[in-house]
Amino acid sequence: MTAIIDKLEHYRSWIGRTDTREDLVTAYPVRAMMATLETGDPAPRIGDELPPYWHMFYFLEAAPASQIGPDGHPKRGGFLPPVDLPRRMNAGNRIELIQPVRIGDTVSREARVTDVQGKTGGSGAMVFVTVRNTISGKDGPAIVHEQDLVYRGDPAPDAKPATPKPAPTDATWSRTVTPDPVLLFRYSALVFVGHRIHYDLPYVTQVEGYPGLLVHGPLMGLMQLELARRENPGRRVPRYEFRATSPVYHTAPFTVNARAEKDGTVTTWIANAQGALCQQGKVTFAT
Amino acid sequence: MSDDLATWRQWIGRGETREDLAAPFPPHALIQTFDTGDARLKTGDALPPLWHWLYFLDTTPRSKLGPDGLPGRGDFMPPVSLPRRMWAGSRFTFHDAPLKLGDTLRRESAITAIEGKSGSTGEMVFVTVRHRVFGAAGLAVEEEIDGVYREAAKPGETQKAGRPAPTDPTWSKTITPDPVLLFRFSALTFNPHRIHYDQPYTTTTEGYPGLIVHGPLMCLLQVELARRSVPDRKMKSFALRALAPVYDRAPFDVQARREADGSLTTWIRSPDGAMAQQGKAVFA
Repeated sequence: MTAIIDKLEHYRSWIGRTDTREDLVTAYPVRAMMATLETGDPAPRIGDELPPYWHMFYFLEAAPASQIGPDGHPKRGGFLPPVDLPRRMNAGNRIELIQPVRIGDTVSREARVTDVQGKTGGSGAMVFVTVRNTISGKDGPAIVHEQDLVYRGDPAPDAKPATPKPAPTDATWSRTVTPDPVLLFRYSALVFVGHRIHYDLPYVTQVEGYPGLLVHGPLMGLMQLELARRENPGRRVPRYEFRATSPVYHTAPFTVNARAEKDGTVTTWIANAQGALCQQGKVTFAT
Repeated sequence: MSDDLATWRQWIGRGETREDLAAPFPPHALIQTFDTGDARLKTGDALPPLWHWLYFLDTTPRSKLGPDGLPGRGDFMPPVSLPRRMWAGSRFTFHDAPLKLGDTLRRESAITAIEGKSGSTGEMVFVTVRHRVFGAAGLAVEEEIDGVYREAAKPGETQKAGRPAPTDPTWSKTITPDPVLLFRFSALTFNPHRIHYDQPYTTTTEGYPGLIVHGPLMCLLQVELARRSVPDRKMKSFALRALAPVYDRAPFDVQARREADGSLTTWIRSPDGAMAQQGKAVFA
């Protein structure tokens, strides 16, 4: 535990590292995700605006097979600090939408490590890494997406999982999602994430010790924003943020919820089948 | 079933046309999946044979996918009521007009044959689809794909022993079909068929001993071995028959033998030594 904190200075030397790449905003992933979520939207065409947060389907990673670890994830190192803790979670996301990105655009993305922090808590050592992704088109920055990655140890065998707090029950809008393996496969395919916890049930239950396949955090994040903006058609979303606090498994349906607030924002959340709060978000609409 | 067959045969002649852009990410991801160390393709580079499979992907809405994850039948494909669907064989002709990265591609498809047959495992229906793929330079690839629909597995049904694979390959490559490789190929072809990634479904519902290695993946591996073995020659055609499934339980071999007429015979050797697929590559 203290060893991790000793390494923190080394990890902090990653602050300021960048990774820049280009991509073409093709129509295919938008069409495929629309079919996966069954949005009923017309087929996307060149020049259409990319919906907010759908930039996740571009700038994908494809590590060579020899660099894939036993969990199906690329081995650590390179752009991100080589944190020596087994579990990694995308815990927080803050997305600012400055100007539209359109299908057919060539865009660039600069990812920058902006902070690395360590902490020892009741559940052991944790390392927090913040990455800021800036996506720019020909007219300059269009999207700034900050991600908080949390690295932590495996729980002790006798550790009781923390009891998540109950989700609110006063949603203005709510829908139920049944996260079957085909839904999870299609999302994994569209982000080209080979992480086995999302499709390999024997692996996830026997090796990682989870009760079922894990529903992707960003997929649930996207579903909250989709619900909020479809219930508020015609309103621009300049900002969306969400936090993941507890995992959701494919073994039971979950709900995607949104509540209109007096100040015009929409609070969103994911509740699992037991009614516990698993993710919480906030959508800001342009006035 | 003969009445049904007559109904299904009304699908012969149905067609559809799709357009797509030969975008850069899918070939990059396939290179990384095969881990060949090849340079990333640039705009204007020719796509290797069969790599057009990375485009024209099917995006059927989720509610129209059947319990096996595949698109329901009765739209473009005939509503064949036999539950298990597999790939039986293919014939490809590569014209002298390669598809290039950055091209707008067009694919014209038509159902050309539907036949019924009784085999040792019960009724079978074969459906042949012909695709013609065009790039900026015109017709690039013609392909015929035979799919077979079969009855559900009977309790205790075992795969009959296949014919042994040849033992005299000129070239050979061993592939370990782990779930990550199968996932990546499914992802790159946006193929939601559960027999390639959902182990409990595959073993419990479909009655197979493990995840099934994609027929097209094994076909592509043979074409890759063939073109890399004779890099200075252009492939004119490739024909393939799928004979037996291969599971994710053990490594298999992709093999090719040079023939006196300059063609290559290719095959997949199962872990038990049987021939799972056989192909023939003809060069210009």
